[in-house]
Amino acid sequence: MSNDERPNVVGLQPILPAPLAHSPWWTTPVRAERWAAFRISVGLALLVDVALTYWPVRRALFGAATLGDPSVFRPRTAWPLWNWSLLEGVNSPWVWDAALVVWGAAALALAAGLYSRRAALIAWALSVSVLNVNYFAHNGGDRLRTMALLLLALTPCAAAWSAEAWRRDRERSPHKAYMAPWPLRLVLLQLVVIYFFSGVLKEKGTTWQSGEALWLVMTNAAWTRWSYLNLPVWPWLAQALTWITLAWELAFPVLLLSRRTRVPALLIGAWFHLATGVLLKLGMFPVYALCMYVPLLPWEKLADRWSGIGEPYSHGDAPVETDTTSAPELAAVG
Amino acid sequence: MLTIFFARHERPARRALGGFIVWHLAYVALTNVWGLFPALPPEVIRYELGDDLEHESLQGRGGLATVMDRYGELTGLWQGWALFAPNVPTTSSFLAVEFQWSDDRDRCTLASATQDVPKTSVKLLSNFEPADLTSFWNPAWHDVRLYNYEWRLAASASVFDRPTGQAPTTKGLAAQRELFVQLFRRERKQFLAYLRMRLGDYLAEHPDAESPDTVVLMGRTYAPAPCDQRPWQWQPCVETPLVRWRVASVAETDADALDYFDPVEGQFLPIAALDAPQVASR
Repeated sequence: MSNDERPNVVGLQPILPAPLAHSPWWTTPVRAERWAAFRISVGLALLVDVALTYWPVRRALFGAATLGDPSVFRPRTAWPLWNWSLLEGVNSPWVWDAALVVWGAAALALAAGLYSRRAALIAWALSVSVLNVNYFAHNGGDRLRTMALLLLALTPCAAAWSAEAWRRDRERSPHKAYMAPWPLRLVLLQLVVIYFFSGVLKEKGTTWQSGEALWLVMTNAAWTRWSYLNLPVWPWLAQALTWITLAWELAFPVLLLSRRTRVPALLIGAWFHLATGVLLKLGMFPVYALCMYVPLLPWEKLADRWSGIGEPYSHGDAPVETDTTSAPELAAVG
Repeated sequence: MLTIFFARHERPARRALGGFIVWHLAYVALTNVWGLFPALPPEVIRYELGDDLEHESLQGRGGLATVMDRYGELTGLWQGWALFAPNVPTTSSFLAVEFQWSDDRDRCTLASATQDVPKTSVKLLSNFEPADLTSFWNPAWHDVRLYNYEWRLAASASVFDRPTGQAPTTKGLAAQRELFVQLFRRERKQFLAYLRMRLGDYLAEHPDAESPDTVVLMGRTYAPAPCDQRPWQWQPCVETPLVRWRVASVAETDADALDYFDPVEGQFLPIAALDAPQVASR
């Protein structure tokens, strides 16, 4: 193999202990487009988040004599806890305005792939800071956001589909970028953990055991965007959906292992987030959860179609892109 | 700079990254498993705690759990996922505030002349409570963070839920009181911040109104009728007093100006009157 054909693996490749070191799922580089798509989706979601859910209500959420008055959540950042906030004690509305503008700009830079890792780092720091200053204004979706931003800050997220990559490709011939797969694996495993452990907790709940849970959700006028009487559901259907949801969550880790069940399992998950996002007041949770599905799609096929570059490693002598056969989720939708 | 550093120390850096990945995997797995076996009494581990499940569960475990706790706090990656678990509330809960003025004074100068503001009390429902439960559509996204905040507090009202038609027992009321007091101890600053906001909004809309003497926070809950009932409808709203803020009180701290409603005594009591075990405040 010539040097030109050698895979261009960007970023630091971890040295993992056994048994991870022997698993191609953890060691075979993946195309950078998947992580780039994740970066873009998280950046855009964050931009929408800052502009639509924080900015309009910032005067009620942050600063003196607001819901997030510095005294209200101070115990959260008190010793011995290690919660922290760059904005702790900030009362000035103008400082809060500036912080949100910086946050929005970081989101835009992240989506565009401009100073991506620095942008992700800033966005992560502000994400943690804002969350700890007014914890009650947030939900699990904001923790997904924080996780995504930290992973992006730690990884070469601008290796493809970014202003940085575009500038680099102008200076030398375009090439396919690969990266270590660990951040994609951590994202997928986080999804697995969320569903499975939620399922285990639900299994203990009487409303889930009886099959009432989804019917109670749909009739909860505090949660739904529509009145139940505007959008009624047969109780037997709600009961069936309750048990399907419970079974799907508990079985999710196993369903991913088989090629036959993988796609339906992931489609159910995406549908679940889409439906709850439309029907319920869950804020940005469904949006960030759907971002977690983005790197599972085979974006490299789209990239190859656009660029017109063939697959240089298809001769069998440089099996870099074995990822599509070895990694369960990568072959999921493609 | 990082690039240069990693170029010079590539192998140690790669090992460090591998170590971080393994550590993170262990953190995610262990904290979620521990979350299934919480250290707190089961009656506290309800949907009210939501995202706090993991934090609560790790308290008092010591050793590795403490280190993992600190890691989650430092990175903002703390775990504990509920997604409507373990139980879905059986009622729709909303908050309402009632501003109360003493009867012996005419507190509302201009407003009293126009009859816009009653002299003794004004009750304001939540912006999130639909005017008509049988037909509404709320597509708004701009207020979801206010909604998150309010819902956290409104969930405390569901502590007082009981099966339809069932009369309250003294034992049941005492259990409800204990649970509510735990929530109240932990969240009284948030209750106060909410009441301040509602009062501030009211006074901004009614610049001629004087500040009330007390503000009462009430939970308003709607239980759904049995699903086979025809025609189907929500049951009538049940209002439960939750918290009272003595606005003019000269309390040692602001949060001490709050009283909680004791369902056993049927009256508001100061938190100091209690001798209940305290839930660790965060």
